[in-house]
Amino acid sequence: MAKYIGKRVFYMIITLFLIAVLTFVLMKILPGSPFDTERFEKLTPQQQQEALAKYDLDKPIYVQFFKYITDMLKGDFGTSFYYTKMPVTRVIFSRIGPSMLVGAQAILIGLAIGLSLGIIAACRHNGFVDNLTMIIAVLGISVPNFVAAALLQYYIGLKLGWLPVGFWESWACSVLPSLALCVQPLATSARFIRAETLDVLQQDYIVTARSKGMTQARLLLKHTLRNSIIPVITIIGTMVVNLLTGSLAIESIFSIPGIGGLFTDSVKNNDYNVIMGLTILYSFMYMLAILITDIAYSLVDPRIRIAAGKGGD
Amino acid sequence: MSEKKKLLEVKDMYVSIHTDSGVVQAVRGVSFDLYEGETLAIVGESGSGKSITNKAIMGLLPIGGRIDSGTVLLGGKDITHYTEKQMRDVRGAEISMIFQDPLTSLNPTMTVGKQITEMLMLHKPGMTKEQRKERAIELLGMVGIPNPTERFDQYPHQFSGGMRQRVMISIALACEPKILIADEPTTALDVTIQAQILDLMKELQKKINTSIIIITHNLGVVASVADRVLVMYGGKFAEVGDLDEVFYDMKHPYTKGLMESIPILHSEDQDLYSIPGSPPDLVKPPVGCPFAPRCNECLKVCKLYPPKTHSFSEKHMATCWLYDERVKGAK
Repeated sequence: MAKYIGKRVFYMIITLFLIAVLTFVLMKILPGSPFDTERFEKLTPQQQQEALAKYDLDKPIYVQFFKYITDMLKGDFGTSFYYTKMPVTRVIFSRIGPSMLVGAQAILIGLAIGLSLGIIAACRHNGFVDNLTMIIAVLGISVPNFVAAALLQYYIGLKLGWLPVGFWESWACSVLPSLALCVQPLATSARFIRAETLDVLQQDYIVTARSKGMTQARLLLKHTLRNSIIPVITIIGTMVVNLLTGSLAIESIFSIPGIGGLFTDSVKNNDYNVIMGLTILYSFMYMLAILITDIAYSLVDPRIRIAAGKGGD
Repeated sequence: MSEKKKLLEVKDMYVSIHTDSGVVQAVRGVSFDLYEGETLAIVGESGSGKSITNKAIMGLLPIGGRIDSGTVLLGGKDITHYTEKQMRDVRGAEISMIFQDPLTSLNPTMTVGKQITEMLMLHKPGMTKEQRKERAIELLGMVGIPNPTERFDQYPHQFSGGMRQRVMISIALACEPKILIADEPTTALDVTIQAQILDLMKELQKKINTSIIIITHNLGVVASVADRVLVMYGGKFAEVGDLDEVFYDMKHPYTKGLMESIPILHSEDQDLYSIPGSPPDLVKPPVGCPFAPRCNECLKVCKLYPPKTHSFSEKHMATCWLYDERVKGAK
């Protein structure tokens, strides 16, 4: 297991490096620079030259890249061009908190309700809960989350006045955005676990289990769930990262100072170092999620054993 | 044999399965008895209702399936009216089942040991965890699995097909049930393994005095294990009797056809015999004898009226028009 994870981490580093190269090059190819401002144009050519030199923007791309990478290895991701003199790490960490809180809450609520609904729906196939779940699933997948956000804001925030409609002042501010964001994971997980559970309930080993004379609850918990959750793990991994990395729409609707807004701003402002920092962070999170997914697989499904040579045959 | 106790009595059972494409009348009036310590083989081709009959006994009919009428007496009590809770105590403890495909019949994400101890946990509440484990290892050894202590913690995918069927048998027999229903237990196995599994079943039957209902379409299997044979066709029973009676003095044309379909080694004839035609569609079951369209001794009356059951000895019976007095007279 340790050997396997070591190998995976090694590949992760290589992948991250390649992503860094690619992003760096693409970013530089894009027209424009952080100094495309009126203020910059008023400077004398010499002052302009000095400003560019200060950030090494006058040097060839490969020199800039080499410097970036060596700094990065030292833990220095550079400073933001837009939020002057602020280190990129600080810029990112000041914005990631709200996004992660909202995302994590959305995942927990979405998975808890989605998985339970899906499982109940499968057990009551074609019954009331099943039809209801399918309606929720279709709605949840087809209605964009910003529509849900607007509805929640209007009815719960404004009409009932139970919760704040926006801003980031207390924990209560995170409730509505979390609810708006949880719709999609709820619908997706409900649909997936329902289909998988229906499939598992058709399997021969379920008939074997029933022939042992056990209760429906035991059949479900001990024999069905572990088998039906396996394919669902795949979608959960990427879903978690998608939500943790913030949603631009939800953040702007609720005026949350989150990371989704930071990303779009940084691209708009050609804030090179922030773009790089966020890209590397996102890539790292995705790769970590995939690694954790694979490890989770092997823990749930004994047929998948990742440590080569040991365990299975 | 007649002094032996009747364990199970199935009386005039009708089972239908409600599907999207119509109501399948899978079992239409089947009756049979099972005596203590005997092996009854239920023979018939796919769709003859043999598996459904047994699933109905266990209360494990597929979705849409229901027993329309008839009784199943287990030790004199009608279990068709048992509640789900009462049935749970029957399943596994009094009647247990093993299935056709050992590769898919074990839960892939649960250790083999746990699947055995689970059976003990459900029906032997007095046992401690250690006792259950000890008993499970003993059972694994009993069904001929080498190194049972190590095998206890392994998962089904680490076992071969034959070994998995042995595990299934050890689960089924864990609580020493009165009846073991084996639904095509050897169909999915290699020929060499088939004989081993059948021998094992016979051996364990003697050891714990279980009655076995073996469902099969393989007459070789029937010949090697059965005491009595029940032949089913189109949801009805065609013929029943002792092994010798059915094998050497068969009365029903369908049984004759089955016997002729057995390939004979060193036979001059190169062609394999098969019964022409296919089994009836049980969504619209025929009014007369279901076998009539494929029968080479078919009479006019066969297609119009269902045949009655005729006895040839104390236990030998067949449902066929050929043995009716009126038909005999007409011939």
